[in-house]
Amino acid sequence: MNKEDRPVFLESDGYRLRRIVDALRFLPFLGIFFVVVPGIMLSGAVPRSLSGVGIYFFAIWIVLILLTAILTRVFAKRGKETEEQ
Amino acid sequence: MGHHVLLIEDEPNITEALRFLLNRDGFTVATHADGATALEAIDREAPDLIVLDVMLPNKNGFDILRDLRAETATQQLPVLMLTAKGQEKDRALAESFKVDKFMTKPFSNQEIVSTINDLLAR
Amino acid sequence: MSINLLIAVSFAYVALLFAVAFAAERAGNRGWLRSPIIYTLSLSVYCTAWTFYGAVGYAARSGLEFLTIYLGPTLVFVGWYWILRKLVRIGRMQRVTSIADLISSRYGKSNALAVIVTMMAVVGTTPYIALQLQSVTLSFQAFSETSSGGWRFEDLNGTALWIAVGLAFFTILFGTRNLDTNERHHGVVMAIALEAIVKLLALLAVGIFVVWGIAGGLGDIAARMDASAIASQKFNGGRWVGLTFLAATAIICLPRMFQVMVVENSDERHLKTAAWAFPLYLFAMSLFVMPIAVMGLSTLPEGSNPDLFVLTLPLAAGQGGLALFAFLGGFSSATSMVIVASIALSTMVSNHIMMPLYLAYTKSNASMSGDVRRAILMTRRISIGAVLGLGYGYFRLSGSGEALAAIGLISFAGVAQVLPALIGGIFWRGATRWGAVAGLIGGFTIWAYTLFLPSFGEGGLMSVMFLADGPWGIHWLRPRALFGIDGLDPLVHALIWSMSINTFLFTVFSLVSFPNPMERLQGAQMVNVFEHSIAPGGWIGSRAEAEDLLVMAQRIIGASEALKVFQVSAQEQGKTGALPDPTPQFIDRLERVLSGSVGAATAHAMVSQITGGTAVSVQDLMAVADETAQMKEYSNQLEAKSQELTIIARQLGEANDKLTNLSVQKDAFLSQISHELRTPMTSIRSFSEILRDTSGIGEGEITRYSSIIHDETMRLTRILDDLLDISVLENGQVVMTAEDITLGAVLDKVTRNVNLGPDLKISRQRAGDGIVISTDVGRLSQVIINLITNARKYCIAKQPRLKIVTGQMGDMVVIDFIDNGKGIPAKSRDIIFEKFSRLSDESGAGSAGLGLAICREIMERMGGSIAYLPGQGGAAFRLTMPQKMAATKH
Repeated sequence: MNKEDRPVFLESDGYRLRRIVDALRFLPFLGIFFVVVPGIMLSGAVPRSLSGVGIYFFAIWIVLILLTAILTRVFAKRGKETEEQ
Repeated sequence: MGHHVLLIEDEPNITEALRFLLNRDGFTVATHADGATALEAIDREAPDLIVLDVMLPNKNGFDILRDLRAETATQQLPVLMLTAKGQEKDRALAESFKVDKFMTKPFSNQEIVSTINDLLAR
Repeated sequence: MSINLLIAVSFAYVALLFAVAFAAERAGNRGWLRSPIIYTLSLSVYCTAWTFYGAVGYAARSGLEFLTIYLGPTLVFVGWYWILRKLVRIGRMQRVTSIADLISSRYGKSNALAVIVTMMAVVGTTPYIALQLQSVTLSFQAFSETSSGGWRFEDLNGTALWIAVGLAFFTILFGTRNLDTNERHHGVVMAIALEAIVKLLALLAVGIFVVWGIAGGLGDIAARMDASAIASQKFNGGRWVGLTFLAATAIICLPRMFQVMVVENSDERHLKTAAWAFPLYLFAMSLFVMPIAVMGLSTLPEGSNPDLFVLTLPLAAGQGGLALFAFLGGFSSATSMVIVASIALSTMVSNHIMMPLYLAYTKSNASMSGDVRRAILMTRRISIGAVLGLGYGYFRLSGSGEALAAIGLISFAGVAQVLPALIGGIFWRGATRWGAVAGLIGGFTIWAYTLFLPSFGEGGLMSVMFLADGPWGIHWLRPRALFGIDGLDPLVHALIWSMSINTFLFTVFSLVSFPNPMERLQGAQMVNVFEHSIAPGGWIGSRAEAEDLLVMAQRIIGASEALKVFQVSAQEQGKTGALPDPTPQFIDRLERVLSGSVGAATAHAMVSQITGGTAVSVQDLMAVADETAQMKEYSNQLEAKSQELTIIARQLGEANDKLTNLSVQKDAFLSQISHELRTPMTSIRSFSEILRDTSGIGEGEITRYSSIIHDETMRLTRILDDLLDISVLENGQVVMTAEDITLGAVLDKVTRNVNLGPDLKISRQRAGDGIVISTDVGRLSQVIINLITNARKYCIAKQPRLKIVTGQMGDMVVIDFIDNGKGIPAKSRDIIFEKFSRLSDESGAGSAGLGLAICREIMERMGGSIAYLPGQGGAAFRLTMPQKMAATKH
């Protein structure tokens, strides 16, 4: 997408949509970070509180679900899917 | 007598023979060798009869005959046509243009002179 | 709790599933049946009996590790924009029927590749099906142990067999009712959605009962958890990461997941709901796993099977109804997995293994004729039976529950081998067939060697010694410590080696091999699928589809014919209007009708463009191109034929013209000869009669007339000579004798002897006079004399001059004759070489007009030519001849 060719101020909708797509793309990496990194940090150790660890993962999980739901809905609402790669 | 005959013929030897024959019988004779200017020659000479060859340079005898018949002045002018080709269709063509007589070369001297006399006597 | 009641409830539940599936099939394309919720629920086939029962067991044994099985898929769905979106779009655009089909079509429709993936899927899935059969039989057993009388379940194998048969029956009934072009099964999907709700509610119900019925709420659970034996376990980071990766891979690569996620997907936009709703479903499914495990461990007697805590906890608490509900949940998990997996596998087995064999045997063409249709349905049914038979056989063989417990993850690792070929295929255009084959086979071999075969236990398929010391005592080939890497968890060990070798082989072979054109096209289509396809429109009502189809059909086969086809179909469907529902049968018929006009591939492409919204695949395009080429060739042939006819007609016309011309020419020739002969004869006759009949004629006149007669006689003789000459020349009867002479000598001789008349002067340019030619000197002289004579006769300049120029042009010798007269007018230049073509305005006596015709004949006999040379001021003729005269033909 050649951004120079486009008027900057009239494109705020398209711009916003592309940033939402960026966020959607970023989401799994956020998830991987918060799921995998603690797993590695905890490796070999006995967790001090199993329930605490459990609650952490469930919390991360529900946050990811909520973020996905919100972003996807906003994305779907913002007009048709733009097919930028 | 004093009938005036115009010979339209491009072969000089034939012209000479005819001139001799007609002069001998008391005709005055004029000759013309070119098809294209034949009509003017006829106008000029005002002949009593024309002997017309078919194969003429620039304009053939049929065309001259047709033009003659189209003019009121020359509509009735007696025309004797001579041809060396001797084809039947030529005779038919000449007759369609109201030729008075159509003869094939070579001709008998006696025959051609008497034919000319007959045509002028009509 | 009566076991009979259990059986009765099971049957009732199965009957309900039948009813739901049947109703869904009948309802067809109703909007709500294709809702994103149904799609999301159908994805729950991921949660099998192994997760329903086994997750609790897993949690009881290994703590939180079970979460990875759900977190992996969650990450994939959260990142749906990367992979799933693309997979679903490709699936729709390419009409993909299975994961094997996707891999094969990505790599240039390679059936060998499809067979490899199919085999791997069968090997990876069979143990999993066995696992489902086991869990259902175990749950029956759990009930029977606590049941109050009735008959007891001694014969587990028998139970498993009956379950397998029942599932096969259900799957065949709803999985192969008809052949949908898109391999979608609304009925099955609906039944599975229902089962998804049942298993979720069942697990939630058990969980809520356990937390608030048995334990004292969440705080109590947390306390018990931290106090339990699980809490003292070390956290295994390697397994945590490995399993998360494995589960993420499985959600993409498992044949049954691919089936519900890609193949059964009716609208791409459903993915946007599933992206968060499916993780939410998984979240709910795992929410109470840990509490149930903890409570089972702390309240149930030592040695109870933790895999059955979901059932045994309510049973122990005397909650028969809840236990029954939980049983139905487990039953749903098992059956939905088995049904979808066997549909997916049977599609692959039938499409990629059985049908190619059948078609090879029958040698029939692969059109969707009735026979082939029946054959496909039959192979599907046989495949379903075979897949379930295999599962049952594996269940019987493995027997022990221990081997089965680990099999879930082992299966995952097996199907994960497809991942590099799949992801590489849709993101990397450079991926090739050989890369895919090498990666798949390499990865699968390592998986089998390091994980699958050892999973049968020491002394199972591999001996104790083999496992401990490696094959033939080669230490670094030990299945559980490949290349000497020791101390890893077996699963992580196998995963690392198989995936890395797989990826390595895939990459290297792709880099060094060269894809065929089909592969490259397909690669481009899939990798850039979003550039090659349009975003899906809204759901198209069937009426609009039928109308679009009618409009298209009218264009192809004509309005009345199209209407007739549509009306007949509508009547058969029992509809009053002219528009039938676009059922598979109708679309099939329409395609057949259209293919009569435009070819099968074109018809298919056109129809599916309207019905499926699918883009035309490369293969479609190629087939269309083939058909077009055939038609083009046919029309080319026709065109060639008509051209041939035109040519023949023209040749006939020309021949006719020639004949007519010849006849005209003959007439003209005869009349010309007549004229040429009669003219001198007229003079001769006339003058001889004059001489004979005229008396007293003068002496001079006698002499004159006699000489005229003499000249004309000479003329006659000359004409007769010329006529004879040209007839001899034309008939090729002339004999020419070559002799060597210089050009100059010929010209000298002629100009010395020819009668130039009084005025004509000849000038010579002697450039080529020295050229020695080999020619018939007499004939050449005749030509030259003719030309000089012509100049003498016709050149009417005051001081007539003739310039003769000799020279050479290439191989040919040329002599030009140029006079200073007025030349020959352009219109006459063509006819001067014809016989009797004397130009009348310059008629000279004594010429029959045969001279130039004779010259032409002579020159052509000698292999040369005579031509009029324009632009020289006067009349100019050029003689061209070879230095050596052409051999005379007789």
